[in-house]
Amino acid sequence: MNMKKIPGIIAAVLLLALAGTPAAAQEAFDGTQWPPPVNESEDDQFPGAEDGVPPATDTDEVPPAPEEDVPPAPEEDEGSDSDMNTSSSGNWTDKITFSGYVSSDISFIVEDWRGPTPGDGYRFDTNRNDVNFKLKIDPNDNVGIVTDMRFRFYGLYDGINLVDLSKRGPIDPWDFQLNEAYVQVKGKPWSKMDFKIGRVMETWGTADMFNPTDNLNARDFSDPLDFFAKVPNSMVIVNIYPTDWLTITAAWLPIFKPAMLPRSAKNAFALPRNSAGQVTGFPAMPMDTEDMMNNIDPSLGDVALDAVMEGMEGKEELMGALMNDAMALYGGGKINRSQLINLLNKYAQINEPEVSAWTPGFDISNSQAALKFQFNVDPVTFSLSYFYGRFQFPVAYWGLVDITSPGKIPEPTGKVTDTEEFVQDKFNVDVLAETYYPRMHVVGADFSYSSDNKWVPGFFAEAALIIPEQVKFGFRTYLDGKLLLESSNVNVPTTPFIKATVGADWSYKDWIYINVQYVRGFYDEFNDMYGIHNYFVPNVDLMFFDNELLIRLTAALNCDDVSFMLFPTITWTVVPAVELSVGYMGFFGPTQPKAPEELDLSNISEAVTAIIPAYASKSRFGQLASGRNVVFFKAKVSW
Amino acid sequence: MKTRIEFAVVLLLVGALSLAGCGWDVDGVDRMNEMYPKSDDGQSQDVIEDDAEQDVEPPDATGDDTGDDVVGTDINVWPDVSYEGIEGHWAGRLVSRGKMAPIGDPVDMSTSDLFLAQGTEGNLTLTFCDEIIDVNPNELFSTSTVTKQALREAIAATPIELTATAGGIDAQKIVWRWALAASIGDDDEFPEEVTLENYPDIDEDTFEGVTMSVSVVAFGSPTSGERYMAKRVKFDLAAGQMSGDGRWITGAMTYVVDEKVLGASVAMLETGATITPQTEGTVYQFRRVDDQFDCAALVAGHKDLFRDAP
Repeated sequence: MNMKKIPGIIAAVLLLALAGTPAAAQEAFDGTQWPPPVNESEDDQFPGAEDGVPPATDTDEVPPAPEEDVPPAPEEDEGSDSDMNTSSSGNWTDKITFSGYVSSDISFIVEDWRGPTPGDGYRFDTNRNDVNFKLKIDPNDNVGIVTDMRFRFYGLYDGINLVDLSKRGPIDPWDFQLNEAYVQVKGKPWSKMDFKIGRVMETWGTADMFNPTDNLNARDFSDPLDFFAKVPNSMVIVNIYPTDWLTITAAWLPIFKPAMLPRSAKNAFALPRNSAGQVTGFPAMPMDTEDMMNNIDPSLGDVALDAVMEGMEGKEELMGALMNDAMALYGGGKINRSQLINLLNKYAQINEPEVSAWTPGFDISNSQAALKFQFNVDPVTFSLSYFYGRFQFPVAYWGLVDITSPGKIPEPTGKVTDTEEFVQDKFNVDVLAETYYPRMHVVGADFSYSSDNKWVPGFFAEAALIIPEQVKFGFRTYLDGKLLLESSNVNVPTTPFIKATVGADWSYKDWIYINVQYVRGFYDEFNDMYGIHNYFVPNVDLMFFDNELLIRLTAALNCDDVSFMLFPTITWTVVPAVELSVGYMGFFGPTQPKAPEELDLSNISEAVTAIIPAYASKSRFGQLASGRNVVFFKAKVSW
Repeated sequence: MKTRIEFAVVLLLVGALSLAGCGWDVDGVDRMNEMYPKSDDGQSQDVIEDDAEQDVEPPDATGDDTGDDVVGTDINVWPDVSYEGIEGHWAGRLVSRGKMAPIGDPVDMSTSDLFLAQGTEGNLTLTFCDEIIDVNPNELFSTSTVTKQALREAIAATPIELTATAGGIDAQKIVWRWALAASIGDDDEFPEEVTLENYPDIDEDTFEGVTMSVSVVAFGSPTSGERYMAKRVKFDLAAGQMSGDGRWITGAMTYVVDEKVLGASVAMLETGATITPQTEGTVYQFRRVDDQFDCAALVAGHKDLFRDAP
């Protein structure tokens, strides 16, 4: 079976299931449709992920009990038009729910070692002012219309020029985001069925935030303080309730949308630099350097030397200086790393890597589909799910180093990249890379258990067996247009792997809430050469004065490299609906893999690794790509 | 309760079974080839294309893009070598014409196996350079095949020996084997069991047999991937005479090919098609070159090189 056809097949099934839907929707708007009484909770319509502070219990993370979702329409009334129009006579104000919030936050970087270059810090990082509107219209019991939108005005702005000073946009930047906009039809075309069409944010899974079976919407990490945000996407979702203990959900997403990354993500491929701005190496790439060195053509050294000599034609003085410095560096088969870095910066202009992202086309074979069977066996709820689509975080695909010799400037021949500006009398080095979104099958299972006994915690677990597309990482080095080195190694093997979350939560009155989770596989981990890591994620909420004061302590520990993140917050509910929060987010761990100070040239692989660190040696929370350490203040009023 | 659990387990099993056999694979090097094409000599494709447009010498293996010192790629230029006897350097190809019918009407195809040959007294030793497969598409089907460097090197490691005389090549039969175990005789059926023992991984890419990049467009739907295969070709060469000016050796031949697809990165490519040999146009041709002539020049210019063969 051609697996690429899966989305098309599921789409066809969904479309068939929805045959007659437009008529049903129109009938519903007309108020002529029989209204099955559906008890859909308000929270299901409005995923509460916008406040930037994890709520103690996220109702979106817990699937609604099937009984509540089953439209208990009498069987004898199914398909009957004679009893229609029972609710269309209500007041319109009863059919509209309007809510939203206004919030303003500001964050300040409290370190100067986690930026692009050491010394950057102790400044404001973000200042956002949000206005959010959520509108839900229920013309009758069969139809729900939901919109959720946000205007965000940014306090900080980028560099401007004199012309910009006469424009509002550059000085007062803003954006508009449509979180959700969909129509939900209930009890049509079958009484035990409803569906949503439009721009939806859907959450699957029973764990708290770390949901490996939740792949419909990509994560939105553009706001580093908001772990809950998702990228909205267009989809068709059909829910069927054949029995009181089973809910079947099918989803089709015609377009793949990738996850949004924090601004710090660019540091994953950035050149590491010291405080003087000198390049101190190259970004980690998923290369099997040992295998590459073992298979390297023995003649490469001679070929490279010839190419260097040719590239230095007309630059004899520079060549002499380079040779002298290089020979002075070499002593007893070892090279001092710091001196090598100095040499590198003296004779090479290394430009910041340009990283592109390969994205799939908009043909139907790149659409995504999912199916879920949710079982309710009180007091346990569990589900089985399947997803076909793409991993939403980028995986390293290839890297290319393109070097132009001083003798070939200003008219380089055979240049691979299209750089046109060169620094004279230096080797000009461009680094290009591309990332990829691999396809995957995900077979998932989850369960949750809650007890009526207040002393017994709730338990939940969620696991996904992921069958990935194999991704081989390609690497090339060019010198003056000549391909000197090419290698390829598996970055993501086809081997199926498991991402899982197991946790428990417990609360006592309104005083304390504890949630602890073991997580195997962080959001962006896909069993590439970085691997799948293990995490311990505890969260403690302490509530005082009738919930007027909330102290939350959240942390995440990488059990493999012992790096961690801390995220404490204090929230004061000044009056109902008005909250003031202050908090801190900090990342702890080495920013760069430790490199030896002496490079042993008899061990070429190790020497290369000292310049291009091994991919797996990156620190999860320590690496610069994780983000900055900030304190923040936030005010929010909701209605 | 039991029914619900059983239902869930059945669902899980059905899901797991339906996923078996996925052959997804993307390679960053292939992607770089798309964006920054290259030839075997490591030059960027732009340089090669420029040369190709001029229809003169392709680049040589040293990477120089002038091509001024490349001899023999211009059909009007013959190398300054001895044209006496079989001794010396030759560029050659075995052209096997045939038909295949994967979908729809049979389509014509030709397989050109390109070699550099070294003539010595009584022998012509053929070292493999590349295999170029041309398939005339029909309205339902088209395909293209590209060899990989590792395959070319693996096949080249075992040269073909032809017996020859000063005036040409003897009539003879040769059996050319790709990734077949020594235990499989020249007339044996290919074993059904796909193992490394039967089909050794001679290009060392962890897959049985040799790996070729294949693109297929069937019913308008394109599929690209890698096909792992083994093959055996029995060539029956008629005697070939050297031309009077000593530049060419040509002759007719027939062939029988057995191919076995051992697997593929995508299911679509796991099905091979039987090739029916055609006699007309199935020939071998050798052209005299000098010792500077290399595989890159042969692959880039083989159509022009043999255009005037007698």
